[in-house]
Amino acid sequence: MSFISFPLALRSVVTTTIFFACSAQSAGQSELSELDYLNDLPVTFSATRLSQTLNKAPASITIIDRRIIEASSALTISELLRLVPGMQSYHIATNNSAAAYHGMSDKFPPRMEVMINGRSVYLPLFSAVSWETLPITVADIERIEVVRGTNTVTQGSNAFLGAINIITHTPLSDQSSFIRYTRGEFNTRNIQAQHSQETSHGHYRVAAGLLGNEGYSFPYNVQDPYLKRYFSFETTMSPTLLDTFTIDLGYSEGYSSVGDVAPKPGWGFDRREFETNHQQLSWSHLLSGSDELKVTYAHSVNNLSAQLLTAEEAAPLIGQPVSVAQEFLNTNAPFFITSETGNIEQHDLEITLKQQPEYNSQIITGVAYRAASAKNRQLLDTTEWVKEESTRLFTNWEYSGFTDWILNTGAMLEHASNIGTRVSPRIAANYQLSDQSTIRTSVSRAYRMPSLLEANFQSIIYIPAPYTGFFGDIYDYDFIANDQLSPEKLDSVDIGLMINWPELHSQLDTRIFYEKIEDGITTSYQLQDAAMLASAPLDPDHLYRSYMNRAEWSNQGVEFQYKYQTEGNLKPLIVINYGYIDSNGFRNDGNNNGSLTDVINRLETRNPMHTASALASITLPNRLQLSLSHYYLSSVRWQEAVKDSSPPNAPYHRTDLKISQNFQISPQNRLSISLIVQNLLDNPYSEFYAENMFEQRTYVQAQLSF
Amino acid sequence: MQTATLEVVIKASAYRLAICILVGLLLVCTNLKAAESLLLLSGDSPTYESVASTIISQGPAIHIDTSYPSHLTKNSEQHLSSYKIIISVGSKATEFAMQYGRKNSTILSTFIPRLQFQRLSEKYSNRIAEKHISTTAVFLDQPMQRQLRLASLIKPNLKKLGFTLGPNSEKMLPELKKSAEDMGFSLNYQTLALSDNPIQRIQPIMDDSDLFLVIPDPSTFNKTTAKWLLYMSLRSKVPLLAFSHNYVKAGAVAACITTPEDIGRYTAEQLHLIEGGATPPPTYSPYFKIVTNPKVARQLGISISTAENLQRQIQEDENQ
Repeated sequence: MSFISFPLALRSVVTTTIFFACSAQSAGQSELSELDYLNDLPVTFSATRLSQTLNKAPASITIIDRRIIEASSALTISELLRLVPGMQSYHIATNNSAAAYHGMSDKFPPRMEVMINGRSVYLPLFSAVSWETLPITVADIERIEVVRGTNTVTQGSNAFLGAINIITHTPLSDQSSFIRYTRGEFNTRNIQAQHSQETSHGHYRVAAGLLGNEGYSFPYNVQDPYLKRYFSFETTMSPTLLDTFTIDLGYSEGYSSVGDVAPKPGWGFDRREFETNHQQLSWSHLLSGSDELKVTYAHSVNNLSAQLLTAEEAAPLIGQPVSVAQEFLNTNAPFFITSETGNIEQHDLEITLKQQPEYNSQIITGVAYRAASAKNRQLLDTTEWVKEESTRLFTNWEYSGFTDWILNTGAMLEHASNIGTRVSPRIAANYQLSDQSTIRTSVSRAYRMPSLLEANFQSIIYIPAPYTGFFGDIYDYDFIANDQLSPEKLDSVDIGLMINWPELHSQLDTRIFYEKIEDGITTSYQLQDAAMLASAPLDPDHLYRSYMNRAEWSNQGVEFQYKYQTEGNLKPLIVINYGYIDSNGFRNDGNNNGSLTDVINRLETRNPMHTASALASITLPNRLQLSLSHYYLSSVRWQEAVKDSSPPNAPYHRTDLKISQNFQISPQNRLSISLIVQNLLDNPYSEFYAENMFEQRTYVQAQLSF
Repeated sequence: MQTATLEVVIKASAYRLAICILVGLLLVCTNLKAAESLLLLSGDSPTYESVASTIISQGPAIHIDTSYPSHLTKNSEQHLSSYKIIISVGSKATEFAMQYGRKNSTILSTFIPRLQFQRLSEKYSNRIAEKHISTTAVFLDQPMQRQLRLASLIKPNLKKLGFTLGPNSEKMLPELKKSAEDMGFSLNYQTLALSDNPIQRIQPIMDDSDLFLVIPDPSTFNKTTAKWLLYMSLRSKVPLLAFSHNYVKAGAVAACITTPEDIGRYTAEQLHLIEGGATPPPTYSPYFKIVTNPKVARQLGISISTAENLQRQIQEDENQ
């Protein structure tokens, strides 16, 4: 099977019922049947939540497995995503990053779901993922599954253009304990550890780490330091042969630096403290035959805070004396030095039922409820919690009753409070051309419900009471919530060809796609109406912004991923990824800069046309592993980072080197020393912001496994 | 001997299968009753069809009808009344044949686990005797000697063989005991129930065994058991000997398997004998394959021969 690997296959056992055929063929019998000997153990993937081998899945899927992770020079999870065709991973600052599929993004990419062990880590208050606060690191990851293309039908509206599921180690796949130390650029000092232990009911794994660095030395003596402490605990228990419980807990705290990279006098980052915790409990119960009922509850809390803006800092911003500035701050309290703060709490409850009515048919149906709450006065214009609820009903039916055909039909009905209800369907057919090649086609419609932020973003600076009679009530209408905001709509067509050459140890997946996004949510400027003008005579520009359904674009292109891997002599591994995308469309910036007519901003240059990456690795007989990675990104103007009038970020090539020497100290103990050089050729290039330069970075890593 | 996996073989013969089955069904549908033999398939899954296809292509040049029990539910006895030989593929078809087979007919049950064949033979023993029906079988599962021989090749210093049994597989115990005694192994086992904690029941067995033999039992061998067996195998460094290729892919060190083509081939040979007037005794297929997972073997710190060498060694032993 293509892309099959031991940990992957092993994982499949966890999520696959292996006696489905027995129940289907000999209903009513509990005796041993012939099909008990010939059952299949398909590999599980994220595309439908059903157990499927890659050639049966209705979407292109990239798997970054442990071997790729170990060969890669990536020190962060988002860096690993450079190895996904069509995915752009970029540093917003030294320790802040973002990843977007099919570009068209700013530093908060909103159109991709990211999960850790199935739990969403998408922050509804920012419509994005905060990678640096996650309570895991690269060392904790067993593999990453990336669904390339919309997966709203399975994961809900966050997975509008794609979905990432990060799967951490379980003792099923990695039973070692380890301690890892990394030292290098920016005075990086990371220490991480993991321990697995068996119990009388199952096993558990604990991981903890302390990561930190001083950040890059930008002009004007600006640095962006970072610190993260994290702890995670996972346990799996099977009190009976029919029941399995999984508990997943995590905690992280620390600080990072937020802000735009725009060196000038007085410029700097804002330090933001973070504290997160999550709890996830899952119970799976095997019903008759292969049927399985699974109930999962997850709760997460993200608290992001920063220092309050002082009157001295506020005074020059509003051009008023410190005493007046203090009154402004009192009226608009709490007012932090950055608006990228807040409290976010999320509850998720999901119930799924997998059934296998016939040997050639499997169905999953489920219901999910999510309650998200957020508090941020600067973004939501209230000191109260703002709540959003969503309910999802979903199903996917896989039918393989026609020779050489696999059909997948699914739909997601999603209801979001204050937004409405939408149905996102997908129809897919995979045709097996031969034993080694499969053609995959799918047609999808997906809706992305506005995030909590998009639906509620309102930023208003109020005038203190003593001055309202003379100056009005409002100092600045910056952002006004749009209660007419609709979901974004995507229509997509996907054609893929998957070829497996087992004798050549190679697999190739090619994808041709067309995506049409309508009602795209974008920030648009509006002229203030008479009432607003009357209430805010001091407003600096007499404009306000709103999220509006004023963008529309299409993406068409091709992606391929090639992988060569053997366990033979030198253990060669080669991964080559390429994505070509041609985007056409516009966003309506409204009355930007006070224009009386709508300002239309073309989006063609907001997406890099070419995204490519390659990884090659060999292991010499003396356990010396040599790995080279190469990344290429063509020119792009990232939204909010590069103005339409400014030149786009230049294309870049970057080559990384990793050399690892492994020492088998004893049968149980192994020491690994690695040298990692990112941007080996020291060709500085711009990451996201034109002046956010990525220069050569060198790290040394030591890991003791026992 | 072919080395293709089950999955590959199934796909490779898909077109041939379709044609064969179609022809067979056409014959039944048009009521051409010239055939005296019926190929009865338990279902329309590709595995059954693959067995049937091989029997038709390699069996004697006689006219064979093909059908499914689900197509013959009305007037079942009448449907089977004209067939002197019924080749039943799978449990459901075998039960149907034993239930409705005509007097003095021969049932060649194939692609069926031994215990299932024995259970059905006992269940319908009165009718079989009353109607003077001859029964024989080609079993799907592996003879215990063959599995234990593979176990000894995987772990040459094997002394203690661990396994678990369920309510159904408990009946295998006498055969296991005899085979183990012949080979000088001691047995270390537990009987599982659905309410059991798999860790507490299996771990002591795993810890005290040199090799663990996975015995399928639909009552107790589910994905939970499969998962924990793999976990404990890796943890305790005790190799698992499995019964399917997929379980080997998932983390068992090796398995002895019989593909639908192997079964079909041997069934065709038995059919030749029956056509010649003999009724061979129920038996296991002499055709089998060994599949291994060298990566898991390395993880467990054991050195195993290639699948081809293991297969050749076992075949040579059996031929002697």
